[in-house]
Amino acid sequence: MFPQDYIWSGAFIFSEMSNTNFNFEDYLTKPHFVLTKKFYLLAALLVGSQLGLLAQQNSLLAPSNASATEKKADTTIVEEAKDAILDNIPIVSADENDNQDGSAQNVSSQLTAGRDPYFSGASFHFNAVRFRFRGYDADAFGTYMNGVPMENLDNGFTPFGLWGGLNDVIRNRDATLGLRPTTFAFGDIGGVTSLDTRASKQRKQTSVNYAVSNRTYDNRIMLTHSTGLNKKGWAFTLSGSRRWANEGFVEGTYYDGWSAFVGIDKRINSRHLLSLVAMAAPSESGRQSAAIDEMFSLSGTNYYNPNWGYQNGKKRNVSVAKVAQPVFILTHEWKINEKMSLVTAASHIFGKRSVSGFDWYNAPDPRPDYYRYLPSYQTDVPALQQQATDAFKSDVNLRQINWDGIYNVNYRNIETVQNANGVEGLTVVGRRSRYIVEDRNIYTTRYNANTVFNVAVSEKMDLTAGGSYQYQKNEYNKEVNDLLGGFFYLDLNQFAERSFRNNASAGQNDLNNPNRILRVGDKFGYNYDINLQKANFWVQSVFKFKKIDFFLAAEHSYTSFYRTGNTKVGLFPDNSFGKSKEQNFYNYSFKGGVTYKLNGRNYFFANGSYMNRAPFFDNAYIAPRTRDFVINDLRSENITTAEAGYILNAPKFKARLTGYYADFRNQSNVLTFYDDQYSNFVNYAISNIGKQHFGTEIGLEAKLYKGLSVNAAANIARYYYTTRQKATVTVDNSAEVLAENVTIYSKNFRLPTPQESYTVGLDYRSPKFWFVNANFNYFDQMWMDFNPLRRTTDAVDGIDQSSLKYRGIIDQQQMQAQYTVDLFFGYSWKMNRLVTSWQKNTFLVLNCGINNLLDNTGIVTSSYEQLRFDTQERNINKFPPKKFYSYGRTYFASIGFRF
Amino acid sequence: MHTTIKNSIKVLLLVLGLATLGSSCKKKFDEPPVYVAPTITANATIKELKAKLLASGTIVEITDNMVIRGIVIGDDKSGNLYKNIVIQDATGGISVLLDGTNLFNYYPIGREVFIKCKGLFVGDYNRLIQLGAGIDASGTTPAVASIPTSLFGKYIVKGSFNNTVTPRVVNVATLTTNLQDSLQNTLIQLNNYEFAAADTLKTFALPNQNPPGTVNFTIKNCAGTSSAITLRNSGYSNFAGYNVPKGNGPITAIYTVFGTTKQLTIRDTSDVKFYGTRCGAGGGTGGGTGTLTDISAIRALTGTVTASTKITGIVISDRVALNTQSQNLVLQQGNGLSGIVVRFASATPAHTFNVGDSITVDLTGGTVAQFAGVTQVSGVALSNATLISTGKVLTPRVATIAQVNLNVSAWESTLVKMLNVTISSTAGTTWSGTTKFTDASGTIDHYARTGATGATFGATAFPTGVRTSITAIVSKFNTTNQVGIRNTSDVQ
Repeated sequence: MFPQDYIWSGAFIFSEMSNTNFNFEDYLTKPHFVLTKKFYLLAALLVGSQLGLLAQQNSLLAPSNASATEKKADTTIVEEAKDAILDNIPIVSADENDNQDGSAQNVSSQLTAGRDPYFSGASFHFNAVRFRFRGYDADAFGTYMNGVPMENLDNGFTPFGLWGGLNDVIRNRDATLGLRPTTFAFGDIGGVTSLDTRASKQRKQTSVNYAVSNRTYDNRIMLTHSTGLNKKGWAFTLSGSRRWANEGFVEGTYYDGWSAFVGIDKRINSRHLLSLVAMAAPSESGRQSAAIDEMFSLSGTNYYNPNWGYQNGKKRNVSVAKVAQPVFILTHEWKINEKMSLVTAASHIFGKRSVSGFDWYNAPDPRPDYYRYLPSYQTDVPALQQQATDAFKSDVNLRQINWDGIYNVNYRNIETVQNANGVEGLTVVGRRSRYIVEDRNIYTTRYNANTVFNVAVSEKMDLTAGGSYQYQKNEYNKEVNDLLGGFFYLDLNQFAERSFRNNASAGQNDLNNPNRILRVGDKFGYNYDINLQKANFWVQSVFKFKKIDFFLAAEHSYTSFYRTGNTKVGLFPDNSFGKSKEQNFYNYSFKGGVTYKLNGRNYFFANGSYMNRAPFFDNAYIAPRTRDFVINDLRSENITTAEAGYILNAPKFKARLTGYYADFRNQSNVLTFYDDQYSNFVNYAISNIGKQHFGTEIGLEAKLYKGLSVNAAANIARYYYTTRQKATVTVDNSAEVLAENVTIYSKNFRLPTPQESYTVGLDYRSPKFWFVNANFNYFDQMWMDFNPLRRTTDAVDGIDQSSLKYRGIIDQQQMQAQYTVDLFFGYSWKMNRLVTSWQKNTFLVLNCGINNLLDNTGIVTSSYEQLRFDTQERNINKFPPKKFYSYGRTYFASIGFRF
Repeated sequence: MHTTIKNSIKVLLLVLGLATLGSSCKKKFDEPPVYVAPTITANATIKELKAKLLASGTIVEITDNMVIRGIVIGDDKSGNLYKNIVIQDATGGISVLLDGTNLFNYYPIGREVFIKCKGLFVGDYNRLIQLGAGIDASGTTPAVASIPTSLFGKYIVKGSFNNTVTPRVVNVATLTTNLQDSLQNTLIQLNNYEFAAADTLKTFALPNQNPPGTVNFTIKNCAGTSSAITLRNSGYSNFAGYNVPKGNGPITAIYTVFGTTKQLTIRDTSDVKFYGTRCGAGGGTGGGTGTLTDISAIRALTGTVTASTKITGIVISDRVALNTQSQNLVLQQGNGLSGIVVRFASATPAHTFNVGDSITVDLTGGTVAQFAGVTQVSGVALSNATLISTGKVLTPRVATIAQVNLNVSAWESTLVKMLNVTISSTAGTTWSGTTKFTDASGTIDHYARTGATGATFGATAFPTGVRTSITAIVSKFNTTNQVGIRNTSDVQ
């Protein structure tokens, strides 16, 4: 290990809002240390204790962040309806790198070879297409902070937004990729990351930073102050930030995120360290939604956003995401002796996140891109189609929400409601809103406790054992956010009303509170809780010999969940109110691996695992908004994975070559969408989902001349669905099963994540403390998420198999290959040289990055076929695919002081 | 430690300060103003617009700068109309095809709308004139295409709300199925209508069928067949599953046509105010079959009574004195109600109904026609007349001769009582033939049937001088008004 290697290897990942914001601060501050003796000492210490090295492997988070923003992008992006109702918050995540040590954690010897050229390349440059590590869903990755697991129990995702903007305090990280063993968790198939935000682990300094950008946010300020441990054993860290944009890159979007962090550590003695952190990152953002090609063409931009419209001349976004979920973590680290340590932690997270949207009652669809409004709907009269096209092109108010019209409908709608609130004879007269803005709330309460015991049994054997208990309750409901000029709204289900005209109670969302008059702040619609708990115990042994290391690990877990309905739904009076049946799962997982160390520079490794995993709540209940039915044949998934590779770690040349394979069986998923043929939400409960992922990861890094080096990374893979899935189709407003166990001919369809990604670039690092990097990136084998409905016998019944129409329905669409060019620059200046009176080292750090330098605006980051299918004419263009495009040329520039 | 604490406090305060700034930034959205209708004037009437359509089955583009103004009289709130609204001005009405649903939120009944017609198209759907935005040639026959949602704003200017359109009260006879009928697509009112007895247990339409079934009802007033008109209700309307009202009363509706069928389209159930007493329900009971019908309704008919119909009333003619033919009787439904001449199918056997008999007569198969200017129902089998009771007393309507002359059509075949009447004759001194009744207000002819089977009192001299009162049956002889006493005791 050369200090330089270590230093230069500092990956410089800074990814926010699923776009890479390049930040060299940390990288650039480090060369200064190189110049100091202090640094050599520090570096030596780090190397000696093998502590700093894991931190390199952080790129893992980037892909999982990206996929988390999409919510389960794997299975035909939960189309508009469910998406709109239950969507996740936009993820604001930091993925910055730092080389400080993690904690009293041991290190798998194979990784001491230093950082990984593949992952740094992949996480830097593959974000434009929402690259996902090995094509895995976000639930295949785990995240721990200060010793507690942070993933949601309901879907397995890591809620990165909870520490959004706190980039300064999450630099201490230990990211383990794939199946390698860690000292803090059994791990997941994609990998697991440990963040250490404890005050005593933060670098002692004050940092002030300001950034401008033209992406999701325009401005960012960050302040952080860490005291380091004082003589009495106390350490404090305070950090805060604000990131905001009145309008982001996409028209009509905005962002306002705040964050605050307090960390207090008390080192009781050399063996005990007690840490408390509290943080919150409330944010509010106006969102973008996917749209169809027609709208991109009519609006003249691939960043068309249907979510906004002019209200009194000002842009207003209807889809506003808000999150406020503070996190508290208490950690106790106990070095029992030189060979044993015990880390125990507990956390509490609570708070609300919500996404707003329209609700309306017997009124025209307020969404401007509703298919019946579009020129393409005017198929019968070409002249009218042209007129409509001209109208859409010339009038922005047709392309966007007509707020003024909506208000005026509400102003006019004076109605008399008899037996209001279910009180006989109570009559309410007034402006009954036909349109409202509602918040779809999720209020989460979570408690986690986790403990991990590490012991060096002998020089050749480390043993780790751990156990955890997690409890989570999510409360789901809707809330009136804005009556839009009306005085009240009614808690009625217009879809059920329409379908069951002779059953007056069918339209009641809550039979316990019929005809409820709603005002701003009132809960309505659905209202249910999910209760989940999970407990696990695991044990792992790592054996280290001169040439060979190997490990074995096993985990046993118990998962339980149930639904509690808080309303008695008119349509399902017997299956909606109160506690549902509990679903219990007992699962086992095993993994193991071996590393062969040819010499200090050449390593060969192979790992494998078998996991048996409980289904997530999200994929278990058919329509939890109205009833407690679970999918047929609800059972645990089986996942088998293996990886093997070669690592070369020479001073001037680094390479990693890995092959991987994963096989998923018995997965399930629930898709929901609005179908106006049924005038309701249709649910597809898909079971028997099988997937295979295999591919090769290549990373290279070579020093060419002095500060000039070349880097390259590639992921060449294939991700297939391997089974014919089974779908059971139900409608929200009826207990009737529309179709049962329909076979989906989905075998060998591709997963939607990009399967081939390449990057190659040059880095130049000047001894004068500046840095420049340029990379060319190329993506291919990108496929559109497919609609299972179109791959059934029914969908193509009677259509000539050799016809284009048949192929159009059946074939999965492939996206065009794409490229981007990224450019980064950074500079760091030690100001003490200028102002010699300053006692402390003071740095001015500048950096900037330009993503997609060539302004390629044709990159589809994600696309999915709408779940709605024109079952009559079977015209695939009636409900065409929806897409998001990657941002065009964007920049990010920041200036910071550290002292 | 001190500096540490100081620095910490500084940072904390900064963070707190920023947070406070942020939380005070929550501002409520400004609410848009209430829509103010722009000033715009119409330069054409709906009638002029419709006149552009010269023949049924054609579709004509409007190339003039025509702006019409109308009030919405039909919207889609109940779902009985779908994807169109109906507007009307003083000259007529027209259906406007709009490619949207829940249109009533923007174009509710009572809203004034201006339509810039240039570039729009008028055509007809089986004679019902429609305004749309193009020619849809995708079907078997070209049709008027709806105005796309995105073009509403281009062609339609929204005006004020809550304008009232008073329905025009009409008779079915005044409605035609002519293409340019000025009542087409306007709001009309028909009085004293009801559903057929057999339909009164039905719902407005059949919503529970798949697809929901549209239903045509034939509704009539008490005049029966001549007043029949089709009421068409959509199975998709929100009232489709409700029972129709069982009574009698006024109906307000949009008058539409389908070919040569006259149709009514209601906006919702409040247009059908059938809450009164059904036709004929006020007279006697029992006897005969058929639907009890008001005599006034029968009088309004012409031709064969096809529906199963009966009338009830009190006999006011005297079969003995024979101032009414023995084959006939005059039946008055009740005090102040209508009467009619009933002519049995055969002269023999003669009927035996006396003055004051309450009877029902089944008219089914009979013929309503004018005989010498008098409405009569003929061809009625004697067996169809049933005696209910005897000795009923009708109170004649007291009137001056001038009033009788004025109301002779309405009062025909009913009893009137005239006061202070002088009888005179140019032919002689007996009742036979025509004499004249004169009071202070005027004069009217009296006729006593002549000949062997004529009035038994024909040869009797009429009393002279001013008579206190004379009761008689109002009648006519072709265009001449006349009255006829039953017998001489009618003269006091």
